[in-house]
Amino acid sequence: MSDKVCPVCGAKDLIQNKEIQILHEPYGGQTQIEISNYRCSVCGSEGDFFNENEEIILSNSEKLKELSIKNILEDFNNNKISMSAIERALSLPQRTLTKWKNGVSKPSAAGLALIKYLRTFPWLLDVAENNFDYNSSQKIFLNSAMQLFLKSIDFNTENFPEAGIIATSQSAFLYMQLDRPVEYPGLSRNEVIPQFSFVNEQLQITT
Amino acid sequence: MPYYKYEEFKYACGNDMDNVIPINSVLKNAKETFNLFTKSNLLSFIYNNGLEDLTFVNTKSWENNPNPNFDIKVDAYEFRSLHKLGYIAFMFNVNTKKWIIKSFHLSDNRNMAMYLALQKAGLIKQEKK
Repeated sequence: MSDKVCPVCGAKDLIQNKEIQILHEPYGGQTQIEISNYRCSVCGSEGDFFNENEEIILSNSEKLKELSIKNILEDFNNNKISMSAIERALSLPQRTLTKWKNGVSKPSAAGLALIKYLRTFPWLLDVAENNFDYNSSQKIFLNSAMQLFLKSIDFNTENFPEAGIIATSQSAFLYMQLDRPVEYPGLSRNEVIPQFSFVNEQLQITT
Repeated sequence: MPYYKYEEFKYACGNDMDNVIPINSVLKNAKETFNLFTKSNLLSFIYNNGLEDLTFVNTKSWENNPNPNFDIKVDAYEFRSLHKLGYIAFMFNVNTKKWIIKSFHLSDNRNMAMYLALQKAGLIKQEKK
């Protein structure tokens, strides 16, 4: 029992518990921390009544964020994307990312969000490289989507008598002709299946 | 009619943080559902008008009050943040002088989230109240 007062009901019957909490940071991994919680045996309320956990959460979260920055920037290096190229494309002062990576300076929350976006969608660098031009950005996005889509097709097991892309200046149409096994009910053996089309800058996906 | 003035609660979230206490699952939900990782993240979000389209739901007596002679009211609101529809309930104990955030989670009335998204997209006309 503690002689501290429950902020919810005013009773003095508080029991302190220790709990393990897991903190997770995208690209930074996770860590376990021990936090304090109080439970009032009179009103049943529980929580960090005396603000004892904030600091430990913040300091551990900060360490994970530093790790996240380091991992993301190392990943760029491993994929042959140099930090100076990223800095140039994003109009950041040169050596900004190196300083972040080495812990010489810390990125703001916005800076950290930016490199997480770049790690998640590396094609955003191409968007920056094209000066955020809307039409170019749409094409970069679609090209990235197409690459992902093509990776999802198992060319070793699927049988495609024919597949192709018909493109004009305003539209594109990707199709595949599948040689389906006869046991597929309700479908003819040879069927042309449009996968997605791109008409007047609008993507249309066939489900 | 709400029992408390919301502006007083909001003011305390920004200027009297030691006297605003999130209890039970509030911080867990704030972290897991709203990316608000600490108490100060949560209170700062509330203070800076993060609870958008705030709609009063009801006022009820605190059901776990150990002292039935001393009624403590709980005000509940729904709110929106981006495409999430949330629910917050809070109360003030005049004896301990603390604001208590009793609930903070996704609203059970979440079909409204799609409605609001469609409305924002201009696909549903704004209803006149």
